[in-house]
Amino acid sequence: MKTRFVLFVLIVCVLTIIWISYLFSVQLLDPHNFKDVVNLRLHPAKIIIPAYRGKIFDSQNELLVSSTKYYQLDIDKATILQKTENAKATLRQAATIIARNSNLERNIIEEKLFTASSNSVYIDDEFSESQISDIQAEFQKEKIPGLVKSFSKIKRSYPKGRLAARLLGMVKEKKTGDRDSNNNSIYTQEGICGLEATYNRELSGEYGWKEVIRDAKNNRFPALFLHEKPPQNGYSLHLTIDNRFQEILEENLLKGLQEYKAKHAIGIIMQPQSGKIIAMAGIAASDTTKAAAQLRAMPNLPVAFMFEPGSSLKPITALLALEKKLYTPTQKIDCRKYVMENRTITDDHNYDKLTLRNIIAYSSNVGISRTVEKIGAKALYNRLIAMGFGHKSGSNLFGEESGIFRKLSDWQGFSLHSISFGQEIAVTALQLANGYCTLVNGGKVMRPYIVEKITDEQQNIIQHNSPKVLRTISEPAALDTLKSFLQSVVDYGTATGAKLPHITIGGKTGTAEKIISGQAGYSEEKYTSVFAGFFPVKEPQYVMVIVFDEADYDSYAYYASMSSVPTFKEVLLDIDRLNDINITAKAKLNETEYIKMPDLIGLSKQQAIEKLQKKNIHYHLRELATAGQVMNQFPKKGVLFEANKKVIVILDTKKQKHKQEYSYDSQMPDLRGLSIKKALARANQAKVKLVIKGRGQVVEQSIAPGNKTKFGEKCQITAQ
Amino acid sequence: MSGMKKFDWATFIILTVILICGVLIIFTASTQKIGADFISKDYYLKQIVWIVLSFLVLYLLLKIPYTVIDTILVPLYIVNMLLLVATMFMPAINGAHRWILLGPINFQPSELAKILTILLTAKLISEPNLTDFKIIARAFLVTFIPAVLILIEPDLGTVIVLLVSILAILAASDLPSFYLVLFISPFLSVVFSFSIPLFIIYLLILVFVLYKTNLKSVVIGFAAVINIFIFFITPILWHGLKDYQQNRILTFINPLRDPLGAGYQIIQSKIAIGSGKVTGKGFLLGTQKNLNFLPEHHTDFIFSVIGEEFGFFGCLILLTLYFLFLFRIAHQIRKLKHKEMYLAAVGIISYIAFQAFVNIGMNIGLLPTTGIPLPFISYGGSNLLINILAVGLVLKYIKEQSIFL
Repeated sequence: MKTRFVLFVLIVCVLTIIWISYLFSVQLLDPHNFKDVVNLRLHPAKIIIPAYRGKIFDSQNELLVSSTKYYQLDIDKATILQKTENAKATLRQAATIIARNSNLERNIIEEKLFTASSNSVYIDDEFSESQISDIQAEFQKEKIPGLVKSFSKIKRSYPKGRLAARLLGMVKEKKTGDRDSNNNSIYTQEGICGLEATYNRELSGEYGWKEVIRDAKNNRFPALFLHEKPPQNGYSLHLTIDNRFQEILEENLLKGLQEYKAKHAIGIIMQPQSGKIIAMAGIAASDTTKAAAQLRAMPNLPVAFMFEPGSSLKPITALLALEKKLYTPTQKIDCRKYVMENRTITDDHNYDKLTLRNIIAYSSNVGISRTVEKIGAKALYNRLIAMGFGHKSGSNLFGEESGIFRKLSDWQGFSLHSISFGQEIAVTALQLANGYCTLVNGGKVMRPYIVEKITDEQQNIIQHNSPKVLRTISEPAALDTLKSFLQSVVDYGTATGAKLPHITIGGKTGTAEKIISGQAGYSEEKYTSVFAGFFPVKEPQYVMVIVFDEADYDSYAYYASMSSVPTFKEVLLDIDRLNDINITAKAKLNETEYIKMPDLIGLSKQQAIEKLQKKNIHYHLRELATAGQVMNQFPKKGVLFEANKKVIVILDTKKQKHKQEYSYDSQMPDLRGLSIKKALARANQAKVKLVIKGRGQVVEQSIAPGNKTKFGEKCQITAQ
Repeated sequence: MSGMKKFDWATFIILTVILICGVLIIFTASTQKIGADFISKDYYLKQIVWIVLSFLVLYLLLKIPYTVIDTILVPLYIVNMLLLVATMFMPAINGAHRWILLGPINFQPSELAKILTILLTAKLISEPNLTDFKIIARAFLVTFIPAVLILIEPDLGTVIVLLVSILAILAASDLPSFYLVLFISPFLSVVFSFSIPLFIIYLLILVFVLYKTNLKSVVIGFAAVINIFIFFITPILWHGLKDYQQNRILTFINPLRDPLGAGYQIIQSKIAIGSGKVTGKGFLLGTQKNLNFLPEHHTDFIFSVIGEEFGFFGCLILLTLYFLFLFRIAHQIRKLKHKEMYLAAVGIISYIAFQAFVNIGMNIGLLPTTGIPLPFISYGGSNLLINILAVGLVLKYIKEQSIFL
């Protein structure tokens, strides 16, 4: 008995000792470092609050890109089954509420809820903030438990759809780690191309976080020492782009692209005084079949597409000639076929002798080559470099190319001639447009820019870009003369198709044969058609460059005057129709020295003088016959001219046909014997549309010369 | 001996101290302290009510003549067995049919069954002039019925407690000690059956021990055959165990095999105790508890709250209190001359000691989770009442033994 009692006490003692020694080891020696385990429990986890990516506005404060937060909705089916009496009815009710507040089908949600085997049922991850809060409110009202909401993603939304897709670029969802915690799933968006990439840092903002301690049941534990950092939403970009200009440009480029069957169509509109880019667009023929999201990842052609500018580069040589006063205004330069040792330079149409003005107006390769020889390679090279060719413009646009422009030391025998008319040099549309800006703004080489300002959420300006003159070239007199040369191109030269009665336009066409890749020499059927222009001539508000790449050869659309020029005109007219832009009205408003020419034709001398005096117009009468009536007048009726200039009034008895020439029904000109280029220009003047067959010189025309043509009538010409 | 012996105040006071500690710990265990304010559940108030109630019952028990208890014991046992059968038709709670649900009061017949079985066994085997065989047969019969019924519930923990208590009673009776070895050997066989070489060594030791006790070779052979049989049947029985029971045993061996499931409780409890260090985190300040990482922290795992908030010293104090309590009772029981009382008291004290050690062992991760509460500390009305009642009986024996001499 006694021994067994002792045994009992012994067992109790031994157990107590074992327990105590084990406790001692666990609690005091702590081999598993439990203390730290528990401290970790109180170490708050971070909940990441993603920041909104900044918005992008145009110059009219229209939203181009914004961000929308989306939430994921799950239904905790287990909770509903446990906590509600009629689980089926509740699930059905939940499905109804969700369907009512979203665009999901009720049946589908119901099926998900009923068939799901897991406790948590995933509904969808694209609920907007308002949708989710409506659903939450209704769930609360109906006392349905089990609604689990979590952040799913932020999506970029584009209120203007495809507009400027290639310019704006796109973002990619990315999950990165947090610097300060081991949270490995921070949701960010990274711009991978376009403006989204260039201004990624400004647009991104910085995510915020919230410390949180969760208990074992994953409920938040409201500890007192938790910190929080609100997210810093991304800054907004305010572009110089005007969505209306952009839309007009894109529409017309697309129209042109389809009409002229071109491979690419590129357009850019800039403000010459500031260097602001008002619109820029580039379309490839395959774009129409692509989704907007695909387009956003594609190159922004006005800065990424390089082409040989062709004749559109001639004005720079002309400008140098003007600066050096190589010729007098009336001095004629030999423009006949220029035969050198290994090379012959020709023009489409053979001109014997042309003034410098007409070399530009009629785009004579020979004339400009002869001129550039007198200027020298170094001067041309320096000028082109100074005007921004061969290097990036500083616009900071994604994917910008610097063009191809060989170093002076690498120039070969005929490089000088070639470059003078735009070969052996490749430019981007932006470079060309910026070059023309310099030509028409008084010689200031501007840094082109597209972001007007960067603002934070409270509209505080973070960064403001103002026009920046990089350097100044040339001299005012030469530039003014060149401007008038360029106006001549439109008035009677190669770009008469762009001529408008109410807006003065200057510009230069360029039709460049494309280099066949991998081969020496140029393609005979692939051309780049360029027109770089500006308007109004007096104080240019806009410079626009239109480029068609590989426009149709068979329909002669490859001629700049057949593709780029008409598109330029269409864009201009569309822009002019915009309420607040109306270039004509502006010209009227701020130019008091401009007078609109009255119609004097048919008046007697006395009546004409009275009418002119009434309007305070200086005039010069040329009486070809006494007591005749006004047969002609310069300028024509309705044309604006400078008040201090004299108008010419021709009085004659002989009946003239001038009046008819400017009515809509016009006379068919004689096109026979002309080159196609010339014929096109003549036909354009006469407002006759041509359908061209063959190439070479015109031998036949379907409407006989002198016949009346109706407006828009088409005349078929055959060339050999 | 002169008249009635005095009531053993010392035991009672130690018990009261333990109970007060229990109330305090239940208070902290059911309280979540966040900053300055805390949310408390009213378990501690309910526990106080139960303690007061139990003390009233204890007082009544001391007043009731021993003969009354002696007379109603058998009917009570029969009624209790019927109640155990009745539980099978009660709705299951957490997969077990343990409770009889009578409106607000939930009653576990198995709690009472343990005490009644101990008392009845003590009564039946303390009759004079019983052969060894008769003692074993009676003890076996009385224990077998409730053990099976409780096993069906299922509640393995309670069955183990019951068997251990009965074994203690048999050990305290005049039964030769080799019987005890025979009784225990099958359980050891189960343990060793997981390893063939260990089992062979164990079997050899067993045979050697039995041989030394001068047993007939037939008995030794019988014991060996039984043990070998158990060795083979154990894997089959193992597969007969419920999944959660298998898991409990397996995760006890290696808690990390299922840290979020069955091992979760053990790991969290160990973390709580381990992080308590020397003096603990302080009253109400246990983070494991506040952050809900500890499961059932006011019932089965209450010891881990003590470990976390009061540290090693807190545990030491509680263990000391238990030790003092058990030692004091044991010391008193030793003087009991009345055999039935003596055996019943041994059963009761074993029952309480075993529960306490198993529970603490389970909390500190030395034993598998068995669902045995910590006596006098864990929250739980019926368990507390039965425990105090059991101690009351021992106190009654100590007080009244002289009457029967």
